[in-house]
Amino acid sequence: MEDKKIIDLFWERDEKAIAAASDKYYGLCYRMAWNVLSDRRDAEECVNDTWFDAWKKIPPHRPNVLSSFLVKIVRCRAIDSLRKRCAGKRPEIQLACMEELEILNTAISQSMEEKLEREELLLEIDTFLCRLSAKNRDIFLQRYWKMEPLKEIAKRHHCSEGAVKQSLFHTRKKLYKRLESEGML
Amino acid sequence: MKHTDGFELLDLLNDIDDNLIVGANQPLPKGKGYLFVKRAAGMAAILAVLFLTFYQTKPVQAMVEKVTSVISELMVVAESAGSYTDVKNTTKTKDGISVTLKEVLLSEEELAVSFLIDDEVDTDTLTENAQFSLYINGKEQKDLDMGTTCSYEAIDGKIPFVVTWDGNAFPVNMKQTKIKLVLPAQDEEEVSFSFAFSTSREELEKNTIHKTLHNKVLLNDGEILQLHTLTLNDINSKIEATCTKPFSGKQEYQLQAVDSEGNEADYYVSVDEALPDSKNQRHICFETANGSQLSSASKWVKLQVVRRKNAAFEEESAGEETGEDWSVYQEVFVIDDEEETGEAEKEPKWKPFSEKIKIDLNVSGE
Repeated sequence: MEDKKIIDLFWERDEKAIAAASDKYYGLCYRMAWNVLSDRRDAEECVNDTWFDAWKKIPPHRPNVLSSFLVKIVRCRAIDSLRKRCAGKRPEIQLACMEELEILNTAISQSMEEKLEREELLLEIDTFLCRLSAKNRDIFLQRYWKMEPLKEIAKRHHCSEGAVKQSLFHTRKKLYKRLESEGML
Repeated sequence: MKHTDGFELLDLLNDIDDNLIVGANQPLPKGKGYLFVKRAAGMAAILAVLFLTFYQTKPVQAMVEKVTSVISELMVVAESAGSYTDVKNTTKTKDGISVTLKEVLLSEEELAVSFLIDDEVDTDTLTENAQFSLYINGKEQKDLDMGTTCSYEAIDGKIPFVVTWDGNAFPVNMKQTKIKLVLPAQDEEEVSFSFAFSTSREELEKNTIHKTLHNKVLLNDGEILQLHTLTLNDINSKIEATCTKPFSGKQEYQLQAVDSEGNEADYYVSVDEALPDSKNQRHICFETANGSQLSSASKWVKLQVVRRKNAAFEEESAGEETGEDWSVYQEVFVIDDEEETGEAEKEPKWKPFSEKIKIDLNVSGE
């Protein structure tokens, strides 16, 4: 079913909307939740909650891109779930990619507290990502948006894991420098 | 240090632009550009700094000037004359960087140029900032789509690097062909390498084999993979096929090949899409991954379909049945062998899935 039709069903408060969204996007959403939580039950629960979140948000919201809208919800839920799960523990034990982001996280955390609104920072990150080469942008998003394992990213780009790590390292460094040069860190 | 819960950036990224997310959720587009990988830019900067440091001393300055002069002379000679065979496999060195022109090949769809570049050159710089230009009979070919592919695995200190220009409208005579590579150097002038030669379509096309295939591969649920064409040269290879079912799902498939010279190559599925005018028919295209190549001088190639559990789907097969509708994961081929029970981190092994097919390359294609 086309996304527009599914969104219309949500707007009409027709419960078929949930079945249709699930039929079309269960795999995408489950994969996202699994990447964050690495637990089947938690991931399933997260995905099931996503349909109900979507039900609550549409209407009044009318998403431009349904897949992105749903995956954002499931990602947000999965991260919240992980945050609860690892409260009081070192988070990188739970999610490998978080260790890589330690320096950026510290800087962003401080910056948001002292200098900037979240929206400003977000706009800068959007701009930064748009200016990256398609390859480096995809690797960055696969890792830190989709939380894909390095192995999967290497396979997607037909390169070694080392090459993926190298690309991520340089992109993180560029992002840090960019935010720093813009006076955001 | 400021306290961080480790989620700051991940939280922020949740609200990035929808269009960026759409791109990340989609398969990579068909083409070559995306295959590109890059490495760190630091070495180029270090080389520049070292060069500047040592250039201050007079003996080194004199030596560099002499070497530069010799190289310039060599480049002028190389640019002004030479057949393709003379220029093929020549190496040019500038500012401590060596670039070798390995091969130039023309197939039906593209002109492919392979280089070997010193592995201290940052592949990040190569793929992001390097400029490649193609001039034919004095005219720059600006309108052609260009793609680059570089291997992350250096071979004897050299990185194999391939540049392709799409198109099939190259002239019959390519008397003044020039391939120019410009590498940026941080805070320094660019370093440029040019390979100029005289050639023809015929000369560049002769090392690409086009073979019509009539081979069918029986898959274990009665489905048939029909192979149609094989294109093979020393830079890349492609097999076009059709099948009634998609090639992605809980199991993933590829072709493994070995040629009569003992070279082995894996053909990954680069295209798997429904044919617009044909019900239940899919176009499947297999391409060799970079660094995995057969020889066009081979007498024959043996192909075999192999498959393995798709790591992207491995997690759900480990759990018990939940009654969940798994139709979104529906596999197309019946799985008749035992489930692999390795941990998530373990890379599933490719297992043979068809008989081997022998393709004679010496017998002319139709």
